Order: sequence, then structure tokens, then C-alpha cells
Amino acid sequence: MVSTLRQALDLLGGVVLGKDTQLRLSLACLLARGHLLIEDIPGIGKTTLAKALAVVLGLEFKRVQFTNDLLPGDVLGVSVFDAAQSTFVFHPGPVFTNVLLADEINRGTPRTQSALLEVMEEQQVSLDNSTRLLPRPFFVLATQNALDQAGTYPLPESQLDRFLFRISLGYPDLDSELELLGRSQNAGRPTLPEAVSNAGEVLDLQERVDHVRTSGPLLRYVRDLLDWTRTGGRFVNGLSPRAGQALVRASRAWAFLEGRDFVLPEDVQAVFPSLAGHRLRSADGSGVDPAAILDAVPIP
Amino acid sequence: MIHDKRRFSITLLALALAFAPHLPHVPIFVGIFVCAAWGYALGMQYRGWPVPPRWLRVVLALGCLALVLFTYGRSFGRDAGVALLSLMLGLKAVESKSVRDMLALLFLAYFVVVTNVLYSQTLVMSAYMFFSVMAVTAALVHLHSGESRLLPDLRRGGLLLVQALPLALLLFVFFPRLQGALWGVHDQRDEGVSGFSETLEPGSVANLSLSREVAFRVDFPGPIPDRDSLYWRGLVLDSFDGLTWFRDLPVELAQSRSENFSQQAVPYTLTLEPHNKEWIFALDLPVFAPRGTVLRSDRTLAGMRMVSSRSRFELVSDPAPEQTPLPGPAWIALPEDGNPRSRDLARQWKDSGLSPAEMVAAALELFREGGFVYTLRPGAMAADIVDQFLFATRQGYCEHYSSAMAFLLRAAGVPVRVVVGYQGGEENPMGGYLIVRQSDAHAWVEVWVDGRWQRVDPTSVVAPQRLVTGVESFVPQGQGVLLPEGIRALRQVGRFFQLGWDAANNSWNQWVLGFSHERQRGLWERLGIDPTTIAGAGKLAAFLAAGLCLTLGVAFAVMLRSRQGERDQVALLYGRFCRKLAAIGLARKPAEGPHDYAGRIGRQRPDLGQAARDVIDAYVALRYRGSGDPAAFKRLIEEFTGRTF
Repeated sequence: MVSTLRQALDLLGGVVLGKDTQLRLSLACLLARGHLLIEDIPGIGKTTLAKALAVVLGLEFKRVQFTNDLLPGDVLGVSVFDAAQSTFVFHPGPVFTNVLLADEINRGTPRTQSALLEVMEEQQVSLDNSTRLLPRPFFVLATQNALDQAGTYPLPESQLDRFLFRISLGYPDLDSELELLGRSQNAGRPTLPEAVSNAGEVLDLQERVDHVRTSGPLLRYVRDLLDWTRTGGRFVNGLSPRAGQALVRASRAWAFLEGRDFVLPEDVQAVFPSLAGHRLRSADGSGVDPAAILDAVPIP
Repeated sequence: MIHDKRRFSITLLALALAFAPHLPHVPIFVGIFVCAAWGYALGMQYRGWPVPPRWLRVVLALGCLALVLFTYGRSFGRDAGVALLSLMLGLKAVESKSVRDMLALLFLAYFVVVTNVLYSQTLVMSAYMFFSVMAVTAALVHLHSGESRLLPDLRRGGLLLVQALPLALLLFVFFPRLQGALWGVHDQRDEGVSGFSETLEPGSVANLSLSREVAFRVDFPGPIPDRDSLYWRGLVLDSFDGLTWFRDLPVELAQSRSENFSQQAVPYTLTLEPHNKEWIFALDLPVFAPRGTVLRSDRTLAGMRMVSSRSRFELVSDPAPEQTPLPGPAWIALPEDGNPRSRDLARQWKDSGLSPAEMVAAALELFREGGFVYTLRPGAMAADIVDQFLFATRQGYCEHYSSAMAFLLRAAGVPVRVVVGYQGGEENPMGGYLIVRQSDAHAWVEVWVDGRWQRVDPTSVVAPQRLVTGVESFVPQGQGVLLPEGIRALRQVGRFFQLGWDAANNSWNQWVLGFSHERQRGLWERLGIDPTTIAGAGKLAAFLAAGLCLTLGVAFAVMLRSRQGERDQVALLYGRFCRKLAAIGLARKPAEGPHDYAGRIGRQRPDLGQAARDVIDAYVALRYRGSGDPAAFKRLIEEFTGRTF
């Protein structure tokens, strides 16, 4: 593995305790140029994770708390008339950053939500007949509270597709909990680590992920997985080709994190649950179990 | 229009292959029509000729039907059916517009291939049919595959056929066979079959002596008896009209013995080529009549029906003749007049008080010392042929000697009869069986001496080597010109191939064509199945069903396998590795990746961990990293699967 990434993971592990897999997935998501949706209850460390990720990688970090009176302009930015210069001057919104934490995204109105989601896809902001590129890398971490649905606007499926992964953090294990409790007595907030990287290096890493090899049998495996979700009427809709491409990209990133320059079926299996869980809805209304899909599809 | 001209041409080619063997059978106009129609269809594809209008096609179709009805009239059988099928094959090609039409053509082609069986069931034809079915299948595959090359489709067609073989074999052995001819419409006007007629006259045997055609083949379970005792009797002739020996006296049935054979009894299996007569050849002297035949009192065998297809008989012969009562006067009857000199000679013998045995000896002495010549070309004789032969020409073939000897003895009052059949045969060292050809045709006499009909072969004293080397030494070869050494060696090689080919054909006849209703029954009985009872029939059905399920199951498993992409070498070898581990309870789960698998093996069997890890690393490199040495991987696998644990 690239030493930067190992260091970053070590440092992140010191901040978000006992969540190695989630940290890896977050990092893989960033390396695969995807966006991350974290679904969990409040106070579990979502913000800490986002902030730590940005800081460790030396990226710019901003945060938007979504509420139902949040307007697109509050996210993207607005043009304000400057009387002195007699022109409209654009005031960039919080979206102009490397890592954006969109907290409780389901509390925003659909209008604002779509404004953000569009930007996530386009990586640029089009306002007032001008297009402004976002800084690269651009990585959105959105959180939503899955249980508390009152007064929320749940993201429609088509927009969930914009997120490469959906993960949940869950409670820390007992040891981590103990350490966490001790720590909060001391300082209340964890001290954020030093940056070990910068935006340029992250872009370079993203570039290198693209060159991770995928062999024919591996692509056949991905195809079989996609095919399995589409046939047999198990799901309302099967995984889309875009989801398939995303799966390959994510697997590459995971393999890269594992220090390999080629993808193994295990890489696909590692990222598949986070990738497929929010994209599939079972036909009979029961929950989707991505692990069951993995068990059902043989590796060619 | 079918846009793909190539596919259409290939379809037509397959059709042509299927149809080609029918060309000699169908009337000439059918052949011309089919070729013309196919030519036009090709023109439609390549030159853009118009599709004939619907009314024209209807008229053509009806016209063809009328033509066939007109040609064959009421006897709408095999030939008419094939002719009609061929015509429609031509017409269908002309109206083929879509892939669907081509499919119909190809399915029709399968049917055309099958109809070849109605004409010929030889080994060569079967091989050709196999080939044409493969070609049609390949065309079918090609129609769907869209490959630009034909070879992979041909290979797949062949593969499909080979995969079908076990099922075909199963059905061949166990599917109940119909008794008698499948189609019931065996055309009787088959090609003239050479062989004996029911009479013996000068020249009738000699005519056969040049024919290399096989009369029958004989398989002895034990050693083949001496050549000079191989007399295959066919017919016994009892009456003479001055020129011809023929059968006139009523025959009775003799009692057939199926047990209590003597020490000298010889069992054998005789496979008779069809000769369209009812008699069946048997070694001197048959003692019992197998199913479907009767044993006559003159110790010849006759079938209930004409032998119109190749037939197999299990026979037993005992060379020792039985005691019989004195035959009636009919057995010494001769025409009123003619051949006076021979009658004089016979009367001399009789007057000098010779016993029948002595008379036989005297006749043989006459042939031996009288300057007689054994020849295939005795020259024509008109009246008083016995006199002419005995006292003038002294040149003759076996029928002359037999006929003359029988005449002399009858004139002297000794009961005698003429037997026609075959003598000798050629042993095929490649099959251990005996081939008896038309050229082995022979005639000899049986004299009633000492209460028994005893065989006397006058030819044996004139030309003893006839019995040792067969008739071939007498067949004129190039008018006495000695063949150069090289050509003789070449003939030897040719003979070797001829015998090999005969052995192959014989096996084919015995094992494939000869697998009759009776032999199938025999096989079932050996398996303990009696199909006449309900339980037996059920058992048979269960047998068939089990076989079918097994075959289909294997096919399904193979299919599943290949769907898993195990076709390539690396995956196959990895499969071997996984199976080896499965044997010790470490089966790879279908969805288990290589590293996970390696980890699990390492945890459960630490002793194997390193070896398995090495194999899996090599596998991962080859399959996922796209590098590595396949040969080294193979060695690793072989090493691993060779271990015992």
C-alpha cells in the first residue's frame, strides 16, 4: 500500500475508534471519485469521520447542515450586487471545497437536495450563465438519520444512485467505547491529526486507482452479479450499468487500498454490500441482504 | 431477402450433402429440378433475381406432386416419397426468405439424411450420414452463431453429435426394436442378387466362379475345420432331364435335434448375405433347424421366408451321415434315352458285378486316369452332354464332373443325388472368421452306399488343389503371363486391405445391423428382463428412463461446468485443486474468492496452508493479475493433487 494511505488509515483509526472497515470504505470511496452516504443515528461520529478524513488528507473541509429552509443558494453560492463596482459578484457557497459534509441531507427540501446532487455528478456549478468548476478532488459525505423520519424528505432512489457507497457506522465496540469515554473526560473533543497528504497527491492516487487491472474472469464475475440482480424478479429494479461501472471502480480502489495492482473477487465482495444496499429494493418489500447475493453468485 | 448470402450458401451446401446420396435413386428429372431450383435460389441471393410469385410456386408444388403421382402411380412407397421430398427440398429453397425458412430447410435436411437408410445401411453410408448430420448441425449452429468463420461451428456441430452418441447408443441397445423391416415396404425389385438358381446345368456354377461377391461369412467359436471338409450344402437336386439337374421329388421335414450332438458336432454362426431365395447354406450336415427355418429330409435348411436381408443363423453341423432306408426308384431315374455310351459303360460296371462302392471307385478312377482337365472354360456342348464330356472333350468344371458321375451311377442303378453349395472359404486373419464367396460355389454328389448318403466329390480327384487353395488357382490370369514381382506384392497389400475392410464390415453387420429383435430379446433376458410380463416391461422402461436421466444428468452437469467458465486451462486446473481439497472436506464455496479460500485452508489445515497458498498465489497471478507461468502453475497443481493427506 502506498505509505500515505497507510499513515492516513492509522491516523483516522486513532480518531474514529474501532471502525476500520468503514474508514477503509470511506477512503476507497474518495479514491474511486465517489460520494459517501452515511446513514446512522446522531452522535455516532459521522462528523468526526468527515472532518478527520479531510484533515488527514490535507483537504479543505466545509459543512452544511440541511434544514427545510435551506435554499440552493445557501449551498452553491449566490451572486450579490456590489454597488461599488456596479456588478454582481459571486459569493461561493460551501460547496466550493474538497470535502463537503452535508449533514442530515434528508432534512433539506427536494429542491436543495437536487441542487447538491447535480453538483456532485457534474463537479461544477452553473449559475447566472457561467460555469464554475469545483476544486478537485471533490468529495461529498452526506449523512441522514434513518430512523427519525418526521419532517424529512427521503432521497428518491434515482438520487441515492449518486452515492457510491452507503454505510452506517454503528455503535463502537466495548473497548473502543471505554477509550472514547476516557478521552472525552480529558479533552471533550479528539485532537485532529496532522495532514499527511494534500489535494494534489490525492488526485494522483485517484489517477493510479484507474490503472488497477481487472481481468476477464473478474469482469465476468461483476457481470454475473449484475445479472443476478436483474433476473428472477427478486428486486424492483436490478443494478444499472452505471452501478456496474461504479462497482468496478470501487473494487479497484479497494484493491489499491489492499496494496494490489489488480482486482480480486474478494475486492468486489468487500465493496458490494455498501454499493448495492441502497440501490436495490426487493420486490416483496422485505429487506435487501447483499451478502445473500454474494453467496448466490459463483465466482467464475 | 436473407441479407447474409453466406449463411444461405452454407445452408444449401448442407442440403446438398444430405441429398447427394439420393441422386442415383431419384429419377433424372428430380435431380435436375432440385439442382435448378437451388441454382435459382443462389441467383436470388447473389444476382438479385426475383422471388417467383406465389401463384407460380403453388403451381410448381402441385405440378411436382402430380409428376410424382404420375411417375409412381399407386405404388407410393419409398421411392415416390423420396422423390417428393427431394422436389420439395428444391422448391422450399426458392421461397426461402428469412432465417426461419432456412431453419425449416435444415430440419428437412435431417429428414433427408434419415431416408438414406432406406437404401443403404452399409458402414460407408453410415459414416457418410454421420458426416452429413454433422454438416447440417454445423449449418444450424452457423445460422445462429454469426461467426465469420465456419470451422468453430463445424467443430461445435461435431461436438454436439459426439455428445449425442451415448444417448444414441442407449436407445440403440434398449429401445424396443420392431420385428421385421421398419418400413414394411421393402422394394422387391432390388438389384439382381447373384447366387444359385434351383437347377444345375453346365455353366451355372462356372458363371459364379469369377464373382468375388461374398455369399456368407462364418464364425466358428472353435478352430476352423480343415478346408477339405468345408462343404456348405445348399440344395439337393434329385432329377435329371438330360441337360439339367433339378428338384422334383417332394421333400419331407426331418426331425431337428437340438441336443445330443455327437463328439464331432461343430457349432458356428453363419451370416448369410441376402440372395432372395429361401434356402440357407449349412456345413455338412446340419442337425437342427434354428428359429425361422426348417430341416428337410435331404439335410438341407430352408427359411420360412426368402432371405432378403442379411441374416444370422446359429447352426450346428455333424459330419457323420445318418442311416437312411433304401431310397425309392425315383433316385435312380434317368431320361429314357440319350447319352448311350455312358449308359453302356454303366451297364459294363453293373454286369461285371461291381458293388456300389466299387462303382464309385471306378468312376473316380476314370476321372483320375482318363485325361480329364479341370477348367472354367469347357466350351459349349449340345446334345448328349454326358457322353460328350466323358468321351470327347474331357474338359469340365465341377458341375460337369458331378453331373456325369451322377448319371453314370444312376445308369448303373445306384441311388445318387447332386448337391450344390459352396466349398472352402477364405479365412480372414483379422477377424478370425471365414469368408465364403460366390467363386467358392461348388457341386458334388452323394451316393447311397451302405445305408447312408455319402459325399463323393469327383472334382477332388481331377483337381485336388481345388480343395486346398480354392478356385482361384484355376482362374485364368492374364493368359499365362507371369506377373512382375512388384505387382504381385501390390496385390498382396491390396488383399490385406480388402480383408481388413471385410473384417470392419463384418463387425458392422454383426454388431450394428445384426442387432435384431431376437438378439435384443436375448440381451434383455441376460439382464433378467422379460418384456412380455408387466413387471419386465416396467423394468425395461425403468432401465431406459434411468439411462436417459443419467445421460441427461451428465450432459447437464457438463453444461453447468462449462457455464462456470471452466473451459480454460487455468480454471480447469484450479478446479482439480479444489476437488482435491473437497475430498478432505475443504470444498471451495462457489462464491469464495481465492484469498478467502487460502485463508480458510490455512486455518483449518495449517499443515497444508503453505502449499495451498503457493498454488493460490500462482492462480491469482494467472487469472487476475494477468501474469505468471501456466506451466509452473500446472506443475504446482500436479504436485499438490499428487499428494496424499
